[in-house]
Amino acid sequence: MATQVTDSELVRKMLGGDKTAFAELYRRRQRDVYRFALHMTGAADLAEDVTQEVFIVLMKKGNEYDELKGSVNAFLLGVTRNYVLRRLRKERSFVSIDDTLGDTIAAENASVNEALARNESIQAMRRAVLKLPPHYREVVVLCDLQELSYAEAAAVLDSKIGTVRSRLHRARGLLIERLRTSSDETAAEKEIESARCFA
Amino acid sequence: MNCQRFEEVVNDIAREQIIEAGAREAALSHSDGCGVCAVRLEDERAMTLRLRELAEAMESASAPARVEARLLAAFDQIAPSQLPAPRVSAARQYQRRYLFGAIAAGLLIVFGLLAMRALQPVPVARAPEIPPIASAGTRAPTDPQFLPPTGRQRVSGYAGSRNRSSKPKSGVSTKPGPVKNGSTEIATDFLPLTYGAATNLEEGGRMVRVDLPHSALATFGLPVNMDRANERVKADVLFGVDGLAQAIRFVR
Repeated sequence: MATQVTDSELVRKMLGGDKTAFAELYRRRQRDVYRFALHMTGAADLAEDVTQEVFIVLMKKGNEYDELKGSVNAFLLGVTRNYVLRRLRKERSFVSIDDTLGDTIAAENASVNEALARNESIQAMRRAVLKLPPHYREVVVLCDLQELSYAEAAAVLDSKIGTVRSRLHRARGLLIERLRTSSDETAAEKEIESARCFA
Repeated sequence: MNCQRFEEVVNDIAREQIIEAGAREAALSHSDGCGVCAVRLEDERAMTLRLRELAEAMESASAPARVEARLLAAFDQIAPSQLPAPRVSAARQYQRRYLFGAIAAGLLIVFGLLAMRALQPVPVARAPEIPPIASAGTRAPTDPQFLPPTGRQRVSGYAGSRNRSSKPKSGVSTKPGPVKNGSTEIATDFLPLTYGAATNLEEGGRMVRVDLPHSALATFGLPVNMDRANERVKADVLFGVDGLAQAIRFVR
């Protein structure tokens, strides 16, 4: 049985000029990088830019990766985080959520109403995550959306596990509050609309 | 468990993380009896479900194919020589540091010793050479200087002067072991009388010929001929500079 080449080995080969190693590494890790950037920014075009920049950094500064400090994935997500935060500081507003998400959900074998309700719930969740301050948002994205362990997330964020845990706790508390508030507002709006209809 | 402790673990329970079984059971039983904590756990579980839905919905999201194409083109543009050299891992760096440190320390020691030797004053006169003293079970080499005096010279002094008898005389054996001096005397090895006798004689010494009762041979484990028990036996005793007898050999 052939054993799969590790990410670290691919990095070494890539630094030796092996293009196929770089392509393999990109195919393995681009999704994590892209999704992290997308969850953090909410903008597909920006996530695309960041992904490209991150892998160019890998090409040029891949020798800074130290396998004793963490996985290649953690290294890439750490670089992604730095680029995302830089872009967030530059461009303050990110609102676009108009990607192919709706199509994916509608294609499922559920009734249209259920699919719409689910879609709405997911979009609301997405908006709530995007409204979190970046330092809370990143722990939710890493631990809950990308399912990294506390230790892996700590490696990405270059912080302690305890810090990750406490931030996640606080971030989830904020999300619960915001979603409850937004659902209350939605219910109130619906109530008003129905009252107008009967008026 | 109280509400505060419950708050510390509610996230991990809702996210189905591995926690201590006892803590989990305690938290769940607490939430059964505490309405506020039960609602809190329910909210957290609902949040976990919604976040998982979002993660599933985004699972297929990936960078467009054009990004890969652009990156591969960029890789081609970067000449292999422009790619950074693979970094030596931290452990190897430490190993190298230790190696360089050890080499530097070794060089310092060598230079230090050389400097010390260079600064040491050259001895004007060398201490007289004293024959090595046999330790238990070994035989000391016999130096001609220590061969007992011949003929009528019964007691001789040893001043340690090299030019007195630096060369062995013809017919005198320099081999270790019992020595036949000329054609008249045979001597045993020097037998130490004290611990570290050889060291004590490094600074010089004096050899004295003495007559001892035949029974003295038995003291050193040598065979005694009872027929000649009344006779005396000759011996050479080596005295150190402190005046203490350090070694002895018997002469026939």
